Amino acid sequence: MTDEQTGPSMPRLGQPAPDFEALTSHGVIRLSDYRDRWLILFSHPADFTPVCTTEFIGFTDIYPQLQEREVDLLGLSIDSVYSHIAWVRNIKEKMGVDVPFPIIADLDRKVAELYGMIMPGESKTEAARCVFIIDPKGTLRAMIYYPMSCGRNMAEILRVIDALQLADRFGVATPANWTPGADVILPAPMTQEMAEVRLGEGLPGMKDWYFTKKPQPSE
Amino acid sequence: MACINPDGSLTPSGRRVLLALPGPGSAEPMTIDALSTKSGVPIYRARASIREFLGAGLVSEDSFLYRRTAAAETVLEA
Repeated sequence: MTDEQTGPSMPRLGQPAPDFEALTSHGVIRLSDYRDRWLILFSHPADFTPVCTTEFIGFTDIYPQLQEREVDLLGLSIDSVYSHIAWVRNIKEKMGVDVPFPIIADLDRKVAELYGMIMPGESKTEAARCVFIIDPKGTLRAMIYYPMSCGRNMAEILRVIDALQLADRFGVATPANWTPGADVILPAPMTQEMAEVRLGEGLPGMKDWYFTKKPQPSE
Repeated sequence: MACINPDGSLTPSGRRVLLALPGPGSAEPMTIDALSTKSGVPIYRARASIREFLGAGLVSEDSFLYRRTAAAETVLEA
């Protein structure tokens, strides 16, 4: 297969998130409208389904924390805008939760196919549970794909946001199971000269030239 | 759409955004960032709203600075 793909595309980390203009429950929105802010673009299989409802409640729960981090939310499913409006009203009436973010009504599957949200092995007509984290420059920084049966973990999504923002701010990486406040990792040296310099630094958290931890930096 | 009803009247959020802009001929047109702050709508809504208003001729743009047009005053008075 060549680099020219036929059929649905798949976005790539580290590259510009595919642009789009879409009808949402808050009017017509373009991806570029979110420039200079972090954005979580996420898909769910269908309105008026139970796991998706718990996820919308979960996203609403973390919305204030996301706003503090200058992160916006934009949902998507292959449903009509009327379905979105009715479902959001239903969530408010039945669950007491006021969903604050817009939801793309992707009936023609344009955005879903642009972002590789449809997994035919699970459903040919519904998007999977996908999360795309896009930075203020419009670069795609992280992707999470979950199956239909498994609701997403909001704490993990927040954790990834914190890790990416920390990495951008201080040029560090985060180890497995990192949570805010825990030690971070210095990027490994990329040349033999830099490896020698790192060894010579005698940092307390260094295990070897490629592996150095240090306390999480702060302002 | 989000700001303008099919009959040409303004939605509540559309009216709020339009009123936050300086009037026609104002010597101090506004950036979208300033509009977002003044109107209280998120930046993505401010950008989408400006696009809608530009298409409807209710807002004019000059070097990424925006103000209401005379047509906007008519709609606001309705």
